[in-house]
Amino acid sequence: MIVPYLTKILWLTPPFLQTAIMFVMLRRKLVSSFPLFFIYTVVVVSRDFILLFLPKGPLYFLIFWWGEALAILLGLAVIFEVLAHIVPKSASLKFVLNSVVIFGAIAALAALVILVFATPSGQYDPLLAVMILGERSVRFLQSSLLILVIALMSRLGLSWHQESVGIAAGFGIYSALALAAFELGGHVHLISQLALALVNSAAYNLAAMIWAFYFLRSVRVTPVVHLPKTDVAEWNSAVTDYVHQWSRRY
Amino acid sequence: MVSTLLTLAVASLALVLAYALLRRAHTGLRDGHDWEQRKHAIDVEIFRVLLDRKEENQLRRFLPPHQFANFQRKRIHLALRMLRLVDDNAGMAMELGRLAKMKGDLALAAKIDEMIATAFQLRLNLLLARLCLYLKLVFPSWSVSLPAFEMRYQHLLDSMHATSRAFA
Repeated sequence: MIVPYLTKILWLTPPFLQTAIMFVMLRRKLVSSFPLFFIYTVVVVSRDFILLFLPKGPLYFLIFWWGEALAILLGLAVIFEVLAHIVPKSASLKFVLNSVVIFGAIAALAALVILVFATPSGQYDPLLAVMILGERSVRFLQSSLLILVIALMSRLGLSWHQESVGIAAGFGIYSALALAAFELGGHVHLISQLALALVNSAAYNLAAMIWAFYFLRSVRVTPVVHLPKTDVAEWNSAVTDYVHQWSRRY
Repeated sequence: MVSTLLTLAVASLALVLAYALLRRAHTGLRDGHDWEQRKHAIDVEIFRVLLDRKEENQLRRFLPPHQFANFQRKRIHLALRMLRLVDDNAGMAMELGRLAKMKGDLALAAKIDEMIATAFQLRLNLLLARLCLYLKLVFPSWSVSLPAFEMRYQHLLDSMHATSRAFA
């Protein structure tokens, strides 16, 4: 059957791509720009290579689940790292970070509600059911935060040469597909456990490919020597004046 | 059922936004020359005149209501088209700033950060301005008043800053 081969390919591709990303980050001195993403990559690659040589047993599952928990926590931290990287260092924009923290708290609360009130149905192994529910809740939180960060990024005019675009898009696509898979497979049981595992793996492969694309290609960008004059400030003032017209009538 | 719908909605939105981010990111600027070629030349004074309250009142006084509504809609369409171009320009200006930052000039970096912050504020204001213009497009003769929430919020922020400074 094709499934065992497909599972192997889907499992082995990301560690190799991420090893390459690790070396490129070191060579291009990108570790200082994205230290948490680098740690995330190292943790995931190390875990996958250790699991590759371990026989399936208690130690294997211990490393798998603790590694998964650590990867999820680091994945959440990377979202905040990307945010800090893209938001301009301006005092007036601190409200953006505050809004993200508030939105994150609301999403965390929603995830907690899902975790507490959603009772897993049709699951014979209660431990597996709790793990799936936990992962689904964390993916919900991750997707909610990424919605806000990606919406901000599109307002910030980030372009193809920004690694932060690749990191956010990779995590966005992975967490969205994983969330949908956990919902359809782990909760409403519309898809089988095998399909859930395959979709989850395929989504991670897609994310690894996006990260690899952004980190591994040769960057040919010509730095701008002089910053040309722009009329951004004048337009900001004109648009603000127009918006204020509406409230001055009051 | 509700939690499933909410979860699937969040997943779909995250997927669509991530895809849109990847698609949009590949049409970006590559150098300063690109900026010169692709920037839109738009006059801010024309925008101000188009949405000037006095002009609007004059038109309201001298034109019959249906003609005023038609004329007003044309003005708003034009203003919305200008805002679309301004949005493009602001996005490109931010990209240009990031390209300039790659040079590693520390003195220039502070200026660039300020410019990016202004452009970001402009793009947020554009969302609000567009919303107002779409409302006016639907009801051209409606002289609407909106509560000045953002002004009150600004007062609140200012007083908070003043209090924290006093305590420091």
